[in-house]
Amino acid sequence: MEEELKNIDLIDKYLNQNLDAEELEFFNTQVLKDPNFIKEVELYRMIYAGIERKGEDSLKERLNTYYEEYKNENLPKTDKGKVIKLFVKLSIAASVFLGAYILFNNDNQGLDPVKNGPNIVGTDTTGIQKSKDSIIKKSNEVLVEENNTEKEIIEKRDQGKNLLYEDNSQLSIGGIQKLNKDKIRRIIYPQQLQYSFDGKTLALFGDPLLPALQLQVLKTSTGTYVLKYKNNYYKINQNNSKNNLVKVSQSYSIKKKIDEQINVNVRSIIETSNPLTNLEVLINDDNSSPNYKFIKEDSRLVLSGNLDYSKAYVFSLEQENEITYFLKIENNLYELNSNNQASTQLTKMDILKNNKTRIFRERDSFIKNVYLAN
Amino acid sequence: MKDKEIIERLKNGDESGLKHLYRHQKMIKSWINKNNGNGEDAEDLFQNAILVFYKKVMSGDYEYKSKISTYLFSICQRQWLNELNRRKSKEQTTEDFMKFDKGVYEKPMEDGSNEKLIGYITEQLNKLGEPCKSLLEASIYLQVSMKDIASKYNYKNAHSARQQKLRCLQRLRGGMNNGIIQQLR
Repeated sequence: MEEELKNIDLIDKYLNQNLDAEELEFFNTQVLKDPNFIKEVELYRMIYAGIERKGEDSLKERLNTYYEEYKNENLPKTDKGKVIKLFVKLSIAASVFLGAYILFNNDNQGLDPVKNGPNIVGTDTTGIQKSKDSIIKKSNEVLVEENNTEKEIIEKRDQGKNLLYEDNSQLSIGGIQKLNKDKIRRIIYPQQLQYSFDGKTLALFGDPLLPALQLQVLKTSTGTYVLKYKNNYYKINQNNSKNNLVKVSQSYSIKKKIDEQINVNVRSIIETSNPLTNLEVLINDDNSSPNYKFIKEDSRLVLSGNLDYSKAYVFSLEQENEITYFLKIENNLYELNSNNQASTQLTKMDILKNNKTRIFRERDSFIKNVYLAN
Repeated sequence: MKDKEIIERLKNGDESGLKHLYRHQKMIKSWINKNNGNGEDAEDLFQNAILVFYKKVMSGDYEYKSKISTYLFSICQRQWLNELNRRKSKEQTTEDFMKFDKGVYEKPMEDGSNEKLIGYITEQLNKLGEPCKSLLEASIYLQVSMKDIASKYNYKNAHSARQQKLRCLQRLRGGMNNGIIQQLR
């Protein structure tokens, strides 16, 4: 036992470069005498790396929390003005809505989403739901195909309410409608990182939080591209399909910067989300102030009020066994608490608020220099 | 909160002052914005600058000469200029690049092949419990001196704090399965 502690003492000093001459001599004899000793030293080196890793990760996490607290305590004072503006907007929207309501909707019954819910639960008709959605599972899916799907969704969306509000033949404007299933998404985070690369643009899928500064693009003398991220290396092949980023055990040494740049595009999490099948979202776009409620027994979420729900996405974010729901309308994000079974006001939140909300960021692409490495 | 108070609190294990440092971020943001960066770059840089500052204070290397804001600003500036140099200069030398690389952004860590082993070690660390976990983190990651650890964790002196550290390492090592280590290597 004591012997072991002595060895640890020696190793600790060695790793911290604190050995005096006598100790160094003893250390060297140990190395020569006992082949297991050097293995033990190497293991302790790893142990120290693990302790450092853990320390750094937990410090970063704490810093994120402090930053979040700071932001919460220092919300811009102009919020009051915003509220008034929003109120004016809502009033305008409400009057427009009221006009439309009177014009088109003389015999609307004013459906209650809860009582009349079952009437509108119909079959799912839009074909695009069956499209290639599960990006995570099909890693070799061709991007072109996906883009088409995306385009299709956008086109259909732009055709107006008919796409968004499916099965609405029996419903009238201003009643309750169902949010298209394609816009109810499930995000599991963290997830497998994926990429596509055409030689000029590297698209990275699966983590919108990827720090730009920790990414490095390397190129070997044989023309292979390698992505360095957090001291790990990933080979990137040129093809227009989406592939998993696979760590290579080899490490590279970086020689010099070459005259080449790569455009890096960290893609939105929406692209690596799957359809969420166990939640139905109903929209009651009345002229109330925006609110929501969950109806747990029916696995339903009801969104009400005057927001532009034609651009809405609902997400469930699964992270460390915890599910959080979000509503995203363009760049506005709202957290939805699934315990709220009574109408609860929708409150816009800062998309940079925390690591959860930051997942929903849409990021600009950035340029990376390429470095020669071997 | 004044700079001095923030530092004193940190040394006593109270991190509540860190939050107040974010008020300096605006300055960095506007500077980064003027220098070809965006808000995101600024946030990343600033977060790292606070991390460096924190570690400096804890290891006793922080010299209280200028304001913390100046210190943070200079770290961000240096990092950003290095980054810009990397982006712009075509005659960039390897040395400079490596300097940046080994700076605050990326600690010189082990190469990818040890990832699994390090992952296993961090799992074992979770099982270790207190005070060992905090003590090892303070000594090995934050490089807090044994004297400071002794006073923080109520050990008689630096020597007994060090003995405790070694025993914690022994316990951590003892809890690890040699078979698994062999496999992960």
